[in-house]
Amino acid sequence: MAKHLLRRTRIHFSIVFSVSLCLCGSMVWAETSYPMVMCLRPVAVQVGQTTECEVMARYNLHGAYKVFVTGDGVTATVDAPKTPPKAGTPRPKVSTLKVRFQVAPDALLGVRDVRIATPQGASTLGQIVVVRDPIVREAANNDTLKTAQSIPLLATVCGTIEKREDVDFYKFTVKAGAALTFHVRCQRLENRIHDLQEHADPIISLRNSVGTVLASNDNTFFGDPLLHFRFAAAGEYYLEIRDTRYGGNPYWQYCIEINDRPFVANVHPLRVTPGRTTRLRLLGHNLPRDSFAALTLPADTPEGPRSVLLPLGKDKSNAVPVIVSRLPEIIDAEAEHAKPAKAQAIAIPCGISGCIAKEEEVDCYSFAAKAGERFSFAVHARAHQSGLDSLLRIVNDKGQTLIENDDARDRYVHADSRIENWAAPAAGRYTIEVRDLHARGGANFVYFLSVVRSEPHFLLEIDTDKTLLAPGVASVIFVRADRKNGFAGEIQLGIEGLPPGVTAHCGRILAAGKDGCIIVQAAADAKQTAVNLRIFGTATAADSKDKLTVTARPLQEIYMPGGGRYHYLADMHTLSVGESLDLKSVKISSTSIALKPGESKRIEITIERNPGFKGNVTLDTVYQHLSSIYGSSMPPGVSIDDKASQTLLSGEQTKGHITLKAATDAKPVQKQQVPIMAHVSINFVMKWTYCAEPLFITVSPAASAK
Amino acid sequence: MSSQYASPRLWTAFVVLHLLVVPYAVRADFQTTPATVTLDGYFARAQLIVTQRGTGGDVNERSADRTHQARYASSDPRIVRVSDTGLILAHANGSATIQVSVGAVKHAVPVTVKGIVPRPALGFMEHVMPVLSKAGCNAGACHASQYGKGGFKLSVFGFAPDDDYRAIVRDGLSRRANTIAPASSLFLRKPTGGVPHEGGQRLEKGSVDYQILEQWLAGGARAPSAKEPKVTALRVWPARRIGVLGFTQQLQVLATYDNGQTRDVTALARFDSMDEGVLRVSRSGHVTTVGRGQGVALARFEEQAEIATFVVPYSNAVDLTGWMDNNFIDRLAAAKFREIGISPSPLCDDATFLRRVSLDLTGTLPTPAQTTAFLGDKAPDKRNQLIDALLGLTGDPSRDVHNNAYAAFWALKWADLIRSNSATLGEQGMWALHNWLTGSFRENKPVDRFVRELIMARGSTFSNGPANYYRIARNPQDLTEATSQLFLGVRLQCAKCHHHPYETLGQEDYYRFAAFFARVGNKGSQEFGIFGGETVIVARSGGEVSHPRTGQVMRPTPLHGKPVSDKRERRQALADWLTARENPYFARNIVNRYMAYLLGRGLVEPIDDMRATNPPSNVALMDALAADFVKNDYNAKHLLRTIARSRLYQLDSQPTKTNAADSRFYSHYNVKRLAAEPLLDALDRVTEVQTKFAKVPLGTRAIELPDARYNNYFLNTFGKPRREGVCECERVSDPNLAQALHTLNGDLVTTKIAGANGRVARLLAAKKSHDDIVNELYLATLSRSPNAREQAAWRQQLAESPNAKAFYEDLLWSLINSKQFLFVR
Repeated sequence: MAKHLLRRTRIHFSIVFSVSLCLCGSMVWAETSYPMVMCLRPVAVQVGQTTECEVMARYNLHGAYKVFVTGDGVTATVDAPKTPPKAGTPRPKVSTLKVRFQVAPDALLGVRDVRIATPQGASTLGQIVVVRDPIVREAANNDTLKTAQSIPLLATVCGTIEKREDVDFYKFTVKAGAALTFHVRCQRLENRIHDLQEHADPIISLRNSVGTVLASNDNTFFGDPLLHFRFAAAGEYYLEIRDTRYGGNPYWQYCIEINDRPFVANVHPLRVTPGRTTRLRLLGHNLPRDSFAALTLPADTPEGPRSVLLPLGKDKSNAVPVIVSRLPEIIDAEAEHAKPAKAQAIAIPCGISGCIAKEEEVDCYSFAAKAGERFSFAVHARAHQSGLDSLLRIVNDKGQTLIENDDARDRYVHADSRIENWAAPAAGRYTIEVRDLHARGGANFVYFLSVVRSEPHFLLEIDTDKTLLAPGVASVIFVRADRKNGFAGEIQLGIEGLPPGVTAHCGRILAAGKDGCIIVQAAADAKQTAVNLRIFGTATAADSKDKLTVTARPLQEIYMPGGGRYHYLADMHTLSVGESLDLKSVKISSTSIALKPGESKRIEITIERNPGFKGNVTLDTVYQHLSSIYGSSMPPGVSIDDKASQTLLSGEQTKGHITLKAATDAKPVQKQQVPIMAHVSINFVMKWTYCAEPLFITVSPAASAK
Repeated sequence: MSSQYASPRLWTAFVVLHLLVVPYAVRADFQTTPATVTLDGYFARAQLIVTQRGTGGDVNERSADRTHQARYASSDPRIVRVSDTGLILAHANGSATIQVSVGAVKHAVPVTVKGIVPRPALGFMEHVMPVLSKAGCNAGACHASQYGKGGFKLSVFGFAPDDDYRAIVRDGLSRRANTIAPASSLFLRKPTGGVPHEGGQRLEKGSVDYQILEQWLAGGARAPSAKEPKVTALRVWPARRIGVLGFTQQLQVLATYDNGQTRDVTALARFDSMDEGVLRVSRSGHVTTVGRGQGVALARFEEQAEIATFVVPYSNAVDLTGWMDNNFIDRLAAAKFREIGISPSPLCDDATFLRRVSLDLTGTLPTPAQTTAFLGDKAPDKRNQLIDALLGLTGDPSRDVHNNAYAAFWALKWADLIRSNSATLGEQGMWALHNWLTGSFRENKPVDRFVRELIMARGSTFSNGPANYYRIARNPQDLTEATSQLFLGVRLQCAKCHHHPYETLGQEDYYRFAAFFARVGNKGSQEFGIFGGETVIVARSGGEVSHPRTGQVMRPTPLHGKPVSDKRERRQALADWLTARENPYFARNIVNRYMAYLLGRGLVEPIDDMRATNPPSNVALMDALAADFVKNDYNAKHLLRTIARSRLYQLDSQPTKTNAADSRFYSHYNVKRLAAEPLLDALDRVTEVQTKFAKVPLGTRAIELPDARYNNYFLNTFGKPRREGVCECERVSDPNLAQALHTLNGDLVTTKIAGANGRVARLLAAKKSHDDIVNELYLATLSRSPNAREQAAWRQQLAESPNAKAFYEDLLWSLINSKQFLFVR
């Protein structure tokens, strides 16, 4: 109880303290910080063209030397700074950087992540949209109908809802009968922005020449609108875009793709088998009735969701979401199978492509199972632009619901349903029911349902998506395991793609733990560089000799309103070696300790501050924020003895210590790699993490009582 | 046990009623109703109604009542007795005759009495409860108040008979009921004044009602039983009477029971006048007309209520010279004028019509240019053309220029009713609902689909505006009350706790209706990102509503309907029933509201209190409007066009000497104060100085505001509702002193008039002539040009004014503060 109270007091204190720090100003913050990208302007780039964009960021972009863009076909360059810094003086502050994007003619349309490497470290992520039509940038004053900006068609209009109550008007001329699609990307481009605490909710409207609203759309693709309109009469029309709530922010960028080409929103089947031609029914706008496209993906296409450009005669479609799968293919039967008695029989494993085509429709699939057999079921729909908010049920032959799932929940809440590792209670036939939670239906309510036998495996996530080093400095990469279907093994971590001058110590995730760490160290003479790494884990399932190797998915940190810390999945983990930072090194008195249950040992820690840096430094072995633990490779039962540790180094203090204590019931473990971290706060949420060389902790077995 | 005690049915007093009176010879000058009487059981009573026949021997709604003038005599008082007012009382089994005399004309009414037994076992609900209700014991002001009176608490109108029985027989150490010596029971001594009673004497000792209670005690004070017959319908006769001021009418009330039998309950029914200015009604159901107009007498018995309508024409001569029916509204209105004896005012002039219809349909004052064009238009159907243009029905985009204002204005009205409010819904939810409302009116969504989308709303509250309906009212009870009042015009709030006093709806009906919403739930979502926080409205697979008193699970049931199955989502069945063409409430509720919006008063008032006991002022017109609305697929623009095109709508607001007293039958247009938002917009338009509201860009009009509360003194003073209730009454439409002071002395009007970029400044800068300036100010404010007298007066005023700018500002101030500006006329 006392321990509980103490912890609560600590949490309370940490909040109060953190808030106090916030209120006290920046005197205790880090002197240096990596740049935090806020937006790119314009936010779209055209295929086959070079487009110059401005990257807007918090902190300093000065000296940017490299741009990372995910996917193929898009490269980007930046100019060297016109004013190189003088030795011994701080770099000039640059919050806006011009970047030239070169986009190949055949580049995949859609959204890409962008990261800027600077001497201050690799930036957080921004996003840019690859589009087909020419970019038209918003003019200075287009806030009223009278001052509407004339735009040519076809075009991709890029602008900013830059201030509260901002409304942007564009005018254009069409011929009678023209059918245009207006596809807005705005809110969806903000999810991975690290420090954008209020997001746009755009709405678009079309007005005729006298200003009468003809049509409007607020949300089609989540918060972003899509409007399709057939103009009965030729003439001049207006397009209006604003935030639904009349909010505004200089970082709220939008692009509106306006064209009269087919717009494919969904395909049925949603699933595509690599190496085989799949005939896809097309659903969307400006499509002839019963439109189909044939798609053949290379045989080595990795499984999972992806966007594809579908062949449409001589042309290609917009980017369309599909699920790539090699599971045996089943198509939702035409015949009625809404009741368990008429369920469509399936063999497991399989991947079912279906559609809840009308209101109150239920799709039933039946399978045979032996008692105790385990299965996993996952619906892929809403996350891929389907209208379906699925509800998934397993029903026995008496019609009783054995298990159901509406929204799968892990790090996020997904509208798609998932049932994992379900065990058949008895031998017999079971029915899988798929329906819309709201009993809705329609041609766009497509889904892909994977049905597999549950095999032990794991997923890995990296917290965070970038590791920032300086010559002589070490840092830590935490990797967290999500164990599936009873997987309980140990996972050895690995890393690929380290640049010259950087070494890594790869730890492991204990069978009893969920986190492991990799400690990376830049040599004292390491050169400035930035690379993307692959981090992975290897393990062997208990009842299998097969090795499982899983690539870890990076997580981009998100700064929540109120000071919370959250994450979005990202596609690249970047390691950078930059200029000297606030700390030059972290040293520990011992790299290996052995603890007996109930025993404590003290580790002396010495930090080397850069001249002039007098900010607070916090020592820790666990990566945490506001009492939540985001990374801890400590052996179970081993913790910091707060009373016997000095973890806050303020002013010019350079020496501290951490006392590690093994609980009396601590389980034995051999040489578990643990980081001794020194944190320097950048702001209320973010911190720069330095690390000492690895500490290996051994916990010996408890002496047997005699 | 003797057969007399075997079944309550045998001793219960029933009257076999022969309502189809056997025609008497033409020579007979009155009719008795009923023509023959059978009284079944002790205390059985029946009210005779004596109606004077016409010269042709007919009886109709204009026939005079002679019940209280007639003389009555029983051929055998040992069997049946009769009062001076024609109330017959059973006394012993057998047959007898009641002789009815009016002047020299006599008729005999045969009476058969049966079922009289020495010690009748009276039922609590069938016999005792009606007496308590008649005496007012279980009224809210007496023992049915929150804590009862004097430690004795009854349920309101006896909706909880078991509780009432316990209170009478068991509570207070059984001191209220003495079954051995009934007369010494406190239950009888209090209401008869035997001991002090704060409520005064409510029963006469020895009266029939007294005897009923005494006999019930003497019979052992039987507890309520589910086997006791329940009243399923009430009928009042005559249902309608027309006559000259001062005419009277005795009412007869017949109750039909669920066992199929009918009984005269006149003596036990409660009577009220719903229009004290027109009629009064005695405890025994004798109506006396006291004023001209149309009024209603209400009869209540057990859980049923019914009305009789009385008309006292204002005049015998109705002047409908020049009256032309523009459509069916006018035909039915004229019929009403003839019946009620009112001559309508003449048509209003074009300028008045332009201003009225523009404000009523779009909440927007016409511009001087629009006014000039309309007044100069010589087309004979220009009013119809204007209506079509305001409603966006011309099909010509260059003429359909009012669509934005139309959508905004009607979205505002419905946002008020639905209670769209960021305080409840958050900014995004409120905007989603607002955008859906605006879009619905922009596309003229049929009202049945509009309501269906609300009732069936599901999914994201950010993406699907109507889903926010389930965030405003968040539990089945609130949803029940809001839905019934909004879309049926039925106020069910009373029935949440007790039987509706003026309706046939009780607690069961309330909670059965609430069961439609029992399975509405919600879930979180991150589709709008991790900051989004949207709510998703879902239909859960389980969830029930229980009766709060009995704990019984209630099956979803429409009002006055049968339970629906659970095969489909419950709300689907509700939406189907609600918007069904045969639903008696739905279309009437909508047309009544729209009549009120345009004509200043609903056919039923209050406009969201539709019930059988609150009939329309013009039943035929209500029926026809509702039928036409249904026939035209619930097309709101069609409804508005039909009303606006009618001559009735286009009548002058100036009453004539003969119709000045009328406020119900639309004999002249009811003058309305401009509502807060259109008035502020009108000020902005007149002065050309736009008001800036929070969180929307400059140029956003007050009628376009999506939210409930703005820090705007003008809107608040002029009664912009806070959207806390579904009642139309939340928008205060009456003028008050604060409003007058604000337009007379407030900074807002003064500042706008004197605005550097305002209309007066612009006109002066353009060096317009005096006449042009005055003309434009008149056109802008009053939608008409000044007449010669006004022009001359202003010329003189200008000549006497040292400062032209100040003069024109004063002139505009005067016009703004005129009733012609502040009111829709």
